[in-house]
Amino acid sequence: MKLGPRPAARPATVAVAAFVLFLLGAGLQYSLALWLGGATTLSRDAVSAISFGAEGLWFLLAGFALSFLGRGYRPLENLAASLVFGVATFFVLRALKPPSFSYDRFFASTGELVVWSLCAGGASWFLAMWGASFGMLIGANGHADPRLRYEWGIARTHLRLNRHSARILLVAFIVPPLLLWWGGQMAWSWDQMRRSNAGDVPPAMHVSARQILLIAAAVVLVLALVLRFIKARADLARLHPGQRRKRPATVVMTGISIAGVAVGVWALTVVLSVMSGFESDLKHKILGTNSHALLLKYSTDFSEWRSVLPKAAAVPGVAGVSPFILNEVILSHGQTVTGAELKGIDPATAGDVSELPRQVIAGELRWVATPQDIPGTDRLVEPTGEAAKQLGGPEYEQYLEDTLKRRQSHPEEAKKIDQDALRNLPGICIGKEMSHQLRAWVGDVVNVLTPLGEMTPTGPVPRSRPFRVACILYSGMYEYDSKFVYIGIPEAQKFFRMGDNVVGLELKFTDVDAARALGRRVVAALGGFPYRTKDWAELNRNLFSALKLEKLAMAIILTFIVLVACFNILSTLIMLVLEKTKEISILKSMGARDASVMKIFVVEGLTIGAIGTAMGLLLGYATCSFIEKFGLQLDPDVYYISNLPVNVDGGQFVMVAAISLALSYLATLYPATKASRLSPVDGLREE
Amino acid sequence: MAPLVEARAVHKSYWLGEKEIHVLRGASFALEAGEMASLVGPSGVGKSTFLHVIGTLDPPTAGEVLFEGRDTFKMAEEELATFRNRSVGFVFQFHYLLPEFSALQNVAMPGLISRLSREQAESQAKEMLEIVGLGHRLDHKPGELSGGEQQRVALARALVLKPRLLLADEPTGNLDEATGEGIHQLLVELNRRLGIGAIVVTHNPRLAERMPRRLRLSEGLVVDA
Repeated sequence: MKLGPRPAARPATVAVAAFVLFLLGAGLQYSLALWLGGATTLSRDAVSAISFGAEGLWFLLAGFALSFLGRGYRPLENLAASLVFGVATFFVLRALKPPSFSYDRFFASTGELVVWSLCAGGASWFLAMWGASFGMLIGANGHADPRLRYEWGIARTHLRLNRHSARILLVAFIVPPLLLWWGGQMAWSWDQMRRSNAGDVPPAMHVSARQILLIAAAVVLVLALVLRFIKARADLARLHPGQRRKRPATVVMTGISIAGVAVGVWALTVVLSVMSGFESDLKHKILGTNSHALLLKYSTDFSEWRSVLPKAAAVPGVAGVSPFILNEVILSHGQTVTGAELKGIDPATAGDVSELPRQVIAGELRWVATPQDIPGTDRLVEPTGEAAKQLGGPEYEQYLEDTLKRRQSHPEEAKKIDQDALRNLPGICIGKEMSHQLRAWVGDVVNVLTPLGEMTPTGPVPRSRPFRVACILYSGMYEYDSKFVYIGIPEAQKFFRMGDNVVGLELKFTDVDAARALGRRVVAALGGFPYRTKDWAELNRNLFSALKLEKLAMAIILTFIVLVACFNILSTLIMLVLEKTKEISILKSMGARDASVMKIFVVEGLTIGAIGTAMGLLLGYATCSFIEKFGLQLDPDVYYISNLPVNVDGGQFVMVAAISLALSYLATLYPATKASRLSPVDGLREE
Repeated sequence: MAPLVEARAVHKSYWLGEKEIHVLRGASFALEAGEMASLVGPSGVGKSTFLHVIGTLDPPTAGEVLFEGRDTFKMAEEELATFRNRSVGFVFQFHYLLPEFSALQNVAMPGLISRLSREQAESQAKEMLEIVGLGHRLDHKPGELSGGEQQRVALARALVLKPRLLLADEPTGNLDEATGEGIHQLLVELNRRLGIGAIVVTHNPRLAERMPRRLRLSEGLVVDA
């Protein structure tokens, strides 16, 4: 190998190169965001995540390249470039200031601009240093050498990674998650057994017999392992003559570091899974009742909806279209009155845009259009369907019984109106909570009042019409079940005197998360103005932005746990460097490069981080499965969910692992760099 | 032709608090290829420091060290590492073997550092261990070897990549008379057999006497005794 001394670039060259690379990175982010926003149907969050991720990666690569150019970290030159970059960012952001009606008023004030520019400058410096550390790791000051051979061997002896410790680790890996998982399974089968009424032969008995066998096997296994461990300890005690076996403090600290990372990762995955469980539960319920987007018009006249409907349906990505009318009314039944949102729907296509037909717990949605089929009050329509199963319980049975009794004792409707007229009253579907409030069941007659009725010389007089309850709906959202009532489109048009108008069209898309972009496509296909769309996220913005913020806050707080755990890694490695100073000197006197010494300690820290992360992820997954199976009870009156929801999202787990590994890597840099800069005589002088 | 190694007016001083301690005060000397020299002097006179400076482990405060005519302390970090790996071998008073590795693995380490394959490094290590007479103790860890054996392993490790210069810092200082004698004989024999230039620091005047060339370090200068 011929070695020629290659001089490092001059400071000005490095700084200018860094600045140019930073500018290119910012340009990359901006153009990528523009392109993704225009050419794909990704959500705005996804676009910013991808574009800023690409920019971050670019900065890492820039730092990596600069370390080769400058033959070192060159922090001062990078700092100068980052400062100039921050100033440039300030002016560019000010020029890019979006119009005032834009709802993300990110760049509204100069103060915020300064903060963002500082962030840009700081991030560019930090990421460039990070990238440079990769360069230094493979020997940026000379010939690049990414090989990791004897370095790994030495790192392994520092961590005491041998067959014995690997076995202990494996047990720690498998046993706690397995126990959790098992607990969940047991709780689940116990629940099943209890539910399948304590009748004749519970089928779960077979399962528990097999489980007893499994438990016995596990006990034997654990005993065997413990015995083996004891035997190994005894063997250790009988050492070869003259040999001293002691456990240095660093070994204990290594274990503690691994446990620290594992606990942090565990907490992070479990909390994030529960939060995204809440989110997806909510999303499911909201999208069950609402469509993905509304197609509206900047005008009260939407009489051409019959011709618009097929056009909208033909747009790629649109899965269903249905017209709707929405207005506020008052409902009364007997002495009870309540306000409601009356929605006119087309029962034939409503199922294409929402889950309405699957939310029916009694009656039929199509009876809204064919009220003649609604059974009379002489018999009680029993709850049916999937949604009804979630209700159950003695309380509900009692309610149904009371309804029937009430009807038998007060057949008031039958007296007032003759049976034929009754049969021809239009149908209405109401939510479960409203059914409770009004004490109305399928077949009962309710009065609907619109406050904006006839104009008379004495002022407006409300208009009222009787409807017969066609079905009861249960969405799982208290708000919806107590507020929404549904009638057919023709009835609604007649009731509100709107001719052949509708308020708008409901749209359902193939991809929920692309609702905004697909909505724009539909509007474009219709020729733009006066049409517009509002997607579900926009309609429920408060709820979802609160959830997102909460999740972000949680993620940041819990990342601090992992961060603290990484400080453990840091201190362990510093201890190790101190303990191994002599060894480092000897390796260097044998010709080990600085980069090799750095590699040894980086690999050690990363191994600690990786083992801890893997343990945490496994434990987190097991905990999620436990929560899911065990079904932690929540107060349904508060949350309207009976069990703590969990949503195990693979992407989230990958994200947590990436954060944890990145932090572990950062924690290794200081001790590893320190170790690599030790002089060979530092460790030799001591004796 | 330039000598194997040459020191020119080497100064080395340390700071102990406010006080500057001058260890080497312009020491100069040259060693020809294949030449063997002993270095004697009272304790604390700076023999180890001198060896460290010659072996590029410690940069001098002033002066230069030339190896085959090249200024070693002008080399970049990577070059210097390669130089230490290929051209110099060190043996210290304490064996400084890596305790978790076997004798074979310890001796193979310089080869692994120079990125030889494991097989190559281990076959060279085996060869060298046989030369120092330890062919039968390859898989023993340093803790399972006697003091003399440990020092032989250290010697094998220093010589495994066939360097041109061996620097031994009191290799027998920790051994009893008979074992030390054995190590010394081995050094002399290896010098003859492999043609390696060597500087051996020793406290034992009888061993020093037997070297072809005798150096003495006193008052920061190297003189021929």
